[in-house]
Amino acid sequence: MIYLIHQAIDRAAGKHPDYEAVRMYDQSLNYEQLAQRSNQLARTLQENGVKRRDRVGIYLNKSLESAIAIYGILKAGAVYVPLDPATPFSRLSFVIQDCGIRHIITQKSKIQILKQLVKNKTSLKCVIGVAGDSDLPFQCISWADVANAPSGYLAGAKIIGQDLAYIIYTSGSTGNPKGIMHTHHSGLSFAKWAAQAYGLHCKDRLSNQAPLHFDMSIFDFFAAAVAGAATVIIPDEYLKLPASYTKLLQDERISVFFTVPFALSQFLSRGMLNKRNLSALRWVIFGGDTHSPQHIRALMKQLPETRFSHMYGPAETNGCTYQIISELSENPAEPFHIGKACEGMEALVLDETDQPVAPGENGELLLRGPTMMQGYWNRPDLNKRAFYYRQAIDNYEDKFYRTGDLVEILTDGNFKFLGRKDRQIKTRGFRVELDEIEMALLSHPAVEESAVFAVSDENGSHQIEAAVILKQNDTNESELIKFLKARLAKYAVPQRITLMETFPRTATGKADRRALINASKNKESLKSKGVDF
Amino acid sequence: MKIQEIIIQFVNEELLNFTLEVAPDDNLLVDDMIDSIGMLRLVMFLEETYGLKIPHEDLIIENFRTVDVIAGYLQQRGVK
Repeated sequence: MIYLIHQAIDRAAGKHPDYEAVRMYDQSLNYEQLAQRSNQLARTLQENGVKRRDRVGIYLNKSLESAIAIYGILKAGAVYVPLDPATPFSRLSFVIQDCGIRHIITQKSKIQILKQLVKNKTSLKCVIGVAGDSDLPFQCISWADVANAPSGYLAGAKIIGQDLAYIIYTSGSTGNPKGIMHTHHSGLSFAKWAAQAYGLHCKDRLSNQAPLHFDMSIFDFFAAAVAGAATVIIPDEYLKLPASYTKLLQDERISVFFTVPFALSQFLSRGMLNKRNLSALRWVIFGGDTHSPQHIRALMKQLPETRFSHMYGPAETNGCTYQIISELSENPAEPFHIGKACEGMEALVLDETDQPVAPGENGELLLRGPTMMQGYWNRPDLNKRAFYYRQAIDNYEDKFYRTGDLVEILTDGNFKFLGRKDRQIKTRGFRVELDEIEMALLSHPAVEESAVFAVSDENGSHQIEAAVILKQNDTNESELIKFLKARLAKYAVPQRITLMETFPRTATGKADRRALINASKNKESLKSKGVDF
Repeated sequence: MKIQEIIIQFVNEELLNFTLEVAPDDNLLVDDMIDSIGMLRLVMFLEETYGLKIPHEDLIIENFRTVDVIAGYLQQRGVK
């Protein structure tokens, strides 16, 4: 029985040490090598002061080292915190300070940005992955130094399943990202469920499209580790060119492909699927965003031997509802519902007064179960709002996570996703709080008022747009975009900013975002008819 | 203007909003450069500017990794 995430790779290394564990381009590590190299890293971290519960940053581009980093940190008894390798400096600095990161695992190309941290007051003390002569005012340990540590089995820090394993930062509506805390128990429970639900085995080859700071990576790495299967990291450049991406799936004989609907839409239009042999592909699992039902159906027809599944779940709960799509509905525009609660999870649908709703009615989806997060790091205010406590017996209460997603319970017990209660949206699978973008715009000295809104696109996802009223005319659209790029995650930067004299207003005087969305849609349709603005 | 200069101008101004200065041999496909929507815009720009259709089978890493590589591809297609 395993209770800790990293025990999964040690178990696989014992069973079949020479099976591939992780691959990127033409480099790979088998399970024995991954176990040994993560042992070396764990020892190095411990020798340099890392203790149980310490937060250690992973600030790496996609690489084999990122897998070593995950397991090395966990084996040291610490908590890994993935830092978006493309994040602006201010956001990077915020996360490091917010959870008190003292050790970071990184690469040479990040030295310049790490140097900037010194100017701020930073908690950072030790950098692993760059040589000592790199002129950084932190203790520096190179990968060559790490490789000198003993690689044998590490009894490990004395931690238990309820200890934290990782913190994933996501968009926060107050302007700063918030850290979602998961334990070994919650991460491993999800991985075990996924391995069982999709019948994963040690010959499977899972793709890893998502970066580590995106919760879909939990499936790609940990479900594979539980099954003793291989994880093939998809380099970023493949994500931009679908014909190359589908060729990689073919050449790497990917059997389980977990992705966002946007990628599937791209495969359909530009993926050259008729020229590919994807006979190894057993599963296409999609989630993380709304989807175009027509695109999914067309893809299912092109890949008749592959099974499709829709998995739903915010980063706070991991995947928590799913359905395996067995047949195509009569109506091609009917979206796939999000299925039923995963085995071991309990779902509730409550109305605005926290009363359960009947089948056929709408309400907010709440969930409880072993894959649920511990809470938000250092945010008692958010934790108060995020959970709902149901009186069970006597003094005992059941703790549910409020997803903020509105669903309808269908008569067959499945949930149909209807939208959000708040202003959170998904764009190409990334989760964004529109309020965070408005706050960032308002922090520009020339901005009087901003309204940020999402316009649905043909892929079933969203594009972000902003309308801005200026105090003085001393800036322009591209200056504002540049300003936002320095403050927000790349995917949160609006595709378009429109400067306006005034906004359309609702009766209460607020910016009428619905009118702005309609104006944007009209503009696009006129543009497609050749009218330019 | 040379093909490379035209592409660099478009990438710097339209796709990167002057946040980065692209060199002819920079990898445009890494995470902090052009995203997948930017790539679509670049393809549309090239098709309009040079009056050609880029078939889906040509939209591959080997033809789009850097500005130099794109220029080489366009030259192969007869662009001068």
